[in-house]
Amino acid sequence: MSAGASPADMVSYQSHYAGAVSRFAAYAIDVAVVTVAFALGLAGVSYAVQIVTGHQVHWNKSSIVVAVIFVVWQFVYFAYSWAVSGRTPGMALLGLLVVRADGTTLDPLHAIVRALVFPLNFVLFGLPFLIILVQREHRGLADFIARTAVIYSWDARAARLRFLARQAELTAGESPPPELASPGS
Amino acid sequence: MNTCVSQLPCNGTRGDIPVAGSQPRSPRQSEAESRCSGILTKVNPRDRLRSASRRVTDPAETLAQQVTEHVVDLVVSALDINEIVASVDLNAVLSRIDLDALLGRMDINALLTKVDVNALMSRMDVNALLGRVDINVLLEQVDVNDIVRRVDIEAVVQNTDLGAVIATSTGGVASEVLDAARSQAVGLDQFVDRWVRRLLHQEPGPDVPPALLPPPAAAASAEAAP
Repeated sequence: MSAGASPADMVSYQSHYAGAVSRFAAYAIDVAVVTVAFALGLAGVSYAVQIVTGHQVHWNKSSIVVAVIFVVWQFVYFAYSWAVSGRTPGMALLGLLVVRADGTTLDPLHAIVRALVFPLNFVLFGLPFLIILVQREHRGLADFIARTAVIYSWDARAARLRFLARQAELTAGESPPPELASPGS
Repeated sequence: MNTCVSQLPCNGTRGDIPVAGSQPRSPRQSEAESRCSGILTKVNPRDRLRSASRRVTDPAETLAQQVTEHVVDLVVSALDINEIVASVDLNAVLSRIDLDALLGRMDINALLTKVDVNALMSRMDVNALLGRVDINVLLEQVDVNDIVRRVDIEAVVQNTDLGAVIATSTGGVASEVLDAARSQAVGLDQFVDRWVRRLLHQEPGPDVPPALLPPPAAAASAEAAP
C-alpha cells in the first residue's frame, strides 16, 4: 500500500472529486470542532449565568433542549461554513471544497439545503457514506439531494514545491561542501 | 568442255537466285555441273571479292574515326561550357523534374549510411554558419510559453538555490505537517478507490466536474509534458 500519493499525481489531483477517506477525515475533524465548541459554549454560558445571577447552572446532556441546541448549532456551523466559503474548518484542513455538481461555486441556497439533508447520513445508519465509496464521483446522498460535489482544492503544486525545497535544503545540509568533498578534482 | 571458273554456281542459278527462264539442261551439262558442285561447296567464289573490298574499307574506316575524333576535339575545345551552362534555364529544367518520383526511387537510408557525418561536420565552419543566423527572427517563431510549460520546475527547485529561497520564504512546520496530512489522505483515497473499483469491476468515473475541466489546449500540453 502506498502511504501517500506520488508527487506528480498530487499535483494533478486539484479539482478532482475528493475521495471517501479525505471526506470522512474532514468530517471527523468537524465533529470534534463542533463538539468542543458546543461544550465551550455551554461552559461559557454557565459561567456568565453564574456571574450575573450567582446561581450555578448544570447542563443535562440528555436533555432535549440541549440536544436541540446542539443540532441547531451543527446546522449553523455547516450551513454557514459552506455558504460563506464552500468549506468547513475540517474541510479546509484537508483541502476540500464543496461545489455545485457541475463544478461552479456553491451558492447559499444549496449550502443550506446540503446542511439540512446532511443528518440523513446518520438517520440511515451511515449507509449514505457507502454511496460515497462506490459512486464514481464520490457523491453522497446529501450531494445528490443538494446537487453538490466535493473536490480537492488545495494548492498541491505549491505544497509539492515546498516539500522539494525542504528536501533539497536538508540534503545540502547533510552533504559536505564541494571543495571538501572532492579535493582532488 | 564446261570448266568451273565461272562465278556462277553450276546449278543454273546466279548465287541464291534462280535464273528465270533457264532452259532445260542437256545430259552433258548435268554431268559437268555434278562434277564441279563438290568444289563450289568448299570454296565461296565471292571471298576474293570480299577480301578485296575489306582491304579498301578498313583503312578508310580507321581514317574516318581519326578524323572524327580530331573534329570532336576541335569542337569541344572551341565550346565555352560555362557559357552554355549559364544559358541553361535551370529553373525550367528543375520544374520539369518530378522530385517526389525521384526521391521515391532513392534509398535514402543507404545513402545516409555512406555519409560520414563527423567528417562533414569537421569541414563545416559552425561559427560562420551561426553568424549568419538571425536569432531574433528565430526567437519570434518560438513559443516561449510552451517551453516554460515543458520545464521541469521540480527539478529546478531541487537542483538549484531556488529551492532554498522557497524553503526560507514560505511555509514552516505547520504547513509541512498540513502538506503531509493532505498527501496521506489523498493517497488513502486513491488506495480505497482502486480497491472498490476492482471489487465492483467498475470503470473509473470522471475525475473533474464539467465546469472545472481544463481547456483542450492546456490539457493537451499537460499530457505531452513528461
